[in-house]
Amino acid sequence: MESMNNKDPFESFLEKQSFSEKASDSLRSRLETSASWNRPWWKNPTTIAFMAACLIVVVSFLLLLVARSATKPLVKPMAEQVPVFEEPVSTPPEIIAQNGKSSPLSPFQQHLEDAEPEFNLSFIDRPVNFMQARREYADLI
Amino acid sequence: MKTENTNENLISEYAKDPKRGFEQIYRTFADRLVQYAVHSFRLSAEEGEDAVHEALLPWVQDPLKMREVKNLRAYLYASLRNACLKRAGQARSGVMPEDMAAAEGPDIHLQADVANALSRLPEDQRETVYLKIWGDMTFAEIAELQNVNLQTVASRYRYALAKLKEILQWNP
Repeated sequence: MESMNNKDPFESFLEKQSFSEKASDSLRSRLETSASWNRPWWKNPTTIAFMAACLIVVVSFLLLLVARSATKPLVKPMAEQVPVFEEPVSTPPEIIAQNGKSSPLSPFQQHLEDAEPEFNLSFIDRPVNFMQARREYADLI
Repeated sequence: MKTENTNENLISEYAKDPKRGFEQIYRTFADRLVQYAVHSFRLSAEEGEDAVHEALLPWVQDPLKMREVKNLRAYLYASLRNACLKRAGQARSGVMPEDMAAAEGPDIHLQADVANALSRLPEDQRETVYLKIWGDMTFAEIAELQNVNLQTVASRYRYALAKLKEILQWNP
């Protein structure tokens, strides 16, 4: 590789031998006529083809919509029916049961009130310390 | 390095303004590309121009795509090479490098001798020496273009130079 980097005098000699061929004006003008910047978009066949394809798709879609709407039966859609507004019921609900005016207690509460207490739920004789509690509830432990 | 910068500048100019950028690319490369087609593939001037036209056509037709090109010079030579290879098999006509000797001027004779010597090289060697000396390409770029390894390119170049020296009877 090192030897490649050293310029051979023969290489320098060859480099000086420039060739005389020139690109002609016709080549330039041919390229210029094909250049996209010299051709408006409406003259571009690709653009025209693309736009024509889009147009065909849109027209087909519209025709399809028209055809579908023409074949549909003339039924008024549900959404167009005006909903009937129902007035909320303002009458008070019917009384099924009511306490007597004299006593505010219900019959059951009244019954409990009248009856003798059958059992005492007070904890007046509850064990006061741990040892008493163990003795009291020995049969449960 | 200077050429690399020029390539980068040309591409960035082309990306900014394709019309102006292409003007510069054309000015820089058109003649060299025609010469490459004529001397490396032994095409006639007309065929060479057709090949150059084919190689440059995407640059005027599709700037959005072409501004993505990284190595301008290598890309141009590669696309021209493909265009030339398509034509190389066809019958050749028109002015051949050997006929250039008929032109006037002492330097023209010398060019004709070089062109003639070049035409007597095998195709691979001719292309290699052309791209290295007049195409300003590196061995790595030529290897990539010809789809061979670096050593093969270096060998082809060495053999080509030796043969050219012999043909031209070059004495320093």
